[in-house]
Amino acid sequence: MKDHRLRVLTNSVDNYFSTVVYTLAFAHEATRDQASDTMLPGASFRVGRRMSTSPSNTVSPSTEVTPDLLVQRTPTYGLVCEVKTNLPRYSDDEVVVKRWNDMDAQLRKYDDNLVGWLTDNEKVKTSDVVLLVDMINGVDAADFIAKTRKERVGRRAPVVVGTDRPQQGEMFVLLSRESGSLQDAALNEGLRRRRKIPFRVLELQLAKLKFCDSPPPNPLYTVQVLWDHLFPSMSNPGNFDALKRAYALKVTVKGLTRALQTYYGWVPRDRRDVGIPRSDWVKDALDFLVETGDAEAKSRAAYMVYYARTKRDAIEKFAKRMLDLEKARKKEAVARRYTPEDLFKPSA
Amino acid sequence: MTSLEKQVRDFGLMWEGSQNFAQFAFNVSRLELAAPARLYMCPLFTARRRDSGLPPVGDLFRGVTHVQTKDGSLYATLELRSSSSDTRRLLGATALWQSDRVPCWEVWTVAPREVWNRAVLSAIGRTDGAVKPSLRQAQLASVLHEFEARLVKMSLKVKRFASRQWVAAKGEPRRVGARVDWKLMSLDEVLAEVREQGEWLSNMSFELMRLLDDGRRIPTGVHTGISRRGFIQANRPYSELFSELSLLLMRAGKDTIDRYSNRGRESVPKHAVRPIAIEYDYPIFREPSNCRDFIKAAKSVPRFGYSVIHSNPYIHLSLTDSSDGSSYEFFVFDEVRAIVVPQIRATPGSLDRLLSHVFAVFPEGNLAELSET
Repeated sequence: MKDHRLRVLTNSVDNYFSTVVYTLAFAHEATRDQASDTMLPGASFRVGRRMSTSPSNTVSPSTEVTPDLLVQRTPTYGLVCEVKTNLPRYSDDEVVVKRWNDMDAQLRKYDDNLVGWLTDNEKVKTSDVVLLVDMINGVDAADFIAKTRKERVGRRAPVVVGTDRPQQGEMFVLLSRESGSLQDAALNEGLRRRRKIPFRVLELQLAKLKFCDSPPPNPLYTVQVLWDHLFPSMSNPGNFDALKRAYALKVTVKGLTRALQTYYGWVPRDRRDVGIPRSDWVKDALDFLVETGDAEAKSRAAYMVYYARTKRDAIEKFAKRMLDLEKARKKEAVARRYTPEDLFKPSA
Repeated sequence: MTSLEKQVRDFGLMWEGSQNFAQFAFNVSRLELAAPARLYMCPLFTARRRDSGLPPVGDLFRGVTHVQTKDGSLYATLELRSSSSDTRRLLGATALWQSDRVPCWEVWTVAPREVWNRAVLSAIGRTDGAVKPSLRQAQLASVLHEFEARLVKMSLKVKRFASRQWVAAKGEPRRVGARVDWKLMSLDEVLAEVREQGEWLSNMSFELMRLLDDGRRIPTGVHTGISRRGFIQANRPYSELFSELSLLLMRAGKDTIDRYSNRGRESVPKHAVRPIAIEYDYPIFREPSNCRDFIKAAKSVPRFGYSVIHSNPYIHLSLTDSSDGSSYEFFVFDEVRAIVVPQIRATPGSLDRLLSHVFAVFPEGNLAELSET
């Protein structure tokens, strides 16, 4: 039986992949003609695109914001989407309330005539803001948006779309509009009636895209992609270190980021695209490998990775190491709090 | 000189006296073989270009005692001890020819089965860049059907076949069991029986029968066999027929290599994915136990590491070949299909090892190219 904490960690890899699935499912639906179920001509989407806010933006005036997903449905209409499928259920807990408020602040930033759309003048006539949440949070999210409606005078409220992955027969993502309405009638009605997006139609995208705009919750996800796919492709008899019994791979944060963007993420196509995954996610992963002893930091941005492949499940192996490191850190913290002299101090 | 030593010596002399493969094949057809020696043949595909020289024989075979090369060909004498405690010598000889029939090497070996398995097959399996493609069920049937169709005044009679199937013992987890049958049947009867029983063929031995004008069939005493591991064998070389069967085997191997080539994303334009779908005509993945068995099959591929990202209700696995750095992902999103997605590096040999192992312990599906729906 797996330890609960270990299970939470290993599940985090799958949960992040699910976020990618939900993002792609919504992008698929929003770029399609619902009547003919074909892709709308000229429709496209971007993950991680910098949009400029106007001087009248209530949260971040005259700056740049990066929504999780941008969909250019028609040349005059688009959607900006915030993906919050891993949001905790709403409660009075301080941490939870803060996360929901942060999400609200994020949505308000998009509540603007943003510039940066995939059109000639980077503007659109009409747009909507969509909040993509797990179906279980759909009602809470709708209530939360309604509660803050008064503060959005004159603006359109974000549209809440719930996502789910029912576990029966053929796998599909269920998309359902929980509150608000979209200005595109066909998309609005389609989501009101709920849409099933079979995994089968997403499979080619899922086969190559592993990252979305939100960072993975821990380095485990990025480490798994590096360890299972990128490092093996860099290994060859010439870089095998017989003493370490591992392939010694000289890597840089920049090089790995570029490779991950090329094979598993989003390469910037113009100055507005940020490029996913970001270099700090890759650096986190490499720093974690340094902690586990699988890499050495040569400088701030250059590392020597010692890649050795074993039969063991890579996710489980690194999750266990992550827990061991956490345990060791806790022990160290306790040891720092109590010096040996403390043990011999007379009690008060 | 023992009979085996004599056969090995004769085989060597035939290689030495042959100017080209055709002459060699003709000479070998006159070779007199006696048990335990048999004639084995498998095609060997290498990453090397045709004109870049011979495969590294030192790396390739175990127990090599003597090597000779000549333009486009190599001959090696192999010697093994049957076990560490046994002092008996097991001899064999192998000849590699750069084929002018299909772009690959033809490995012809005269040896007892143990030498073939231990010195040749296992060594090929361990050698980077050398691929001996396995046969899928459809290829196995097609090679045999085509061979049967080419026979003039002869037919095949299956003498023995080995198949695999899932065996469910009461109270125990299901496992893959092997069945060996010695029924005398025609090729079509065997293939039908295997299909009906939900089994998959491992190997088959058959005897060539001479058809007389009055319709009677007379045994020729020539026993030949084919294995899904991608080789053929015979107790006697028989004029051009063995050579004919080996050509069909090489063509099937080339089809496999072509299908598995250029899959790695590093070599595909725009780094696109080129997945392969494994399709079944029944909902095999509806049963959770079948999903578990599929995962077990993928996790047990020799020299492959794995990560299980999701196991139920859909399957998402990562697999890495530690021998050459190839990596793959498996997805099962619906009940009738699995998808294997070659990642950054994916060599034909590695993909063959992966699918060949999975199909050895899990029912085989039809391979199809995945295209945008």
